[in-house]
Amino acid sequence: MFTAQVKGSVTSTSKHASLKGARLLIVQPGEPLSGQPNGFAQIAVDVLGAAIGAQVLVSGDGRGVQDMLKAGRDCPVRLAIVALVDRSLSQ
Amino acid sequence: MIIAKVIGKVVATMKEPGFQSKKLVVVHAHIIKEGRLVPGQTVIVANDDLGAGEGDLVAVTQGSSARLAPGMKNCPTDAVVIALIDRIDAEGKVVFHKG
Repeated sequence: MFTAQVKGSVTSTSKHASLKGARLLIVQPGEPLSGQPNGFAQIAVDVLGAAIGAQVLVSGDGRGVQDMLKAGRDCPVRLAIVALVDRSLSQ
Repeated sequence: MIIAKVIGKVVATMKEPGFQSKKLVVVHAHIIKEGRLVPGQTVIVANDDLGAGEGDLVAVTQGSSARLAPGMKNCPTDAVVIALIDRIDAEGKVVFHKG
């Protein structure tokens, strides 16, 4: 999983059936402690209602996304926001 | 699996139900180069139920198999700490020894 900042959202009318009604957000991966961007911005499914600018935790567990979207095994999505990060800190 | 050093933790109250009461640690991947353990590129977040503390060296499994780790069946995770490393022998040397 990686931490990221929500940069925006994606709207699409013509898409895979399993994405019907799904909220798609643009997430910019960032180094958890320094927040420095590291990696390409990607699209992740959001069911937690993350706001633009929020720090989130993104997981690449496809099975999890299928459960979140209540979509069957043919749901081709892998990234989903699984937590809104209050803070990440060195212990 | 990757070798990684625990460098921090992530606190989140608003999260998927499967993550309730699960500890999230920030881990920095490490690689072995010329008989030494050196930091790698990736820094990721993993579930930890083994009680890894900061500075511990751990083995992290990633991908869908991460959910096969004990207690992770209903947790939509893709990275889990599955071992606290005591010692690493590589290239004919003790590259790491805990303590």
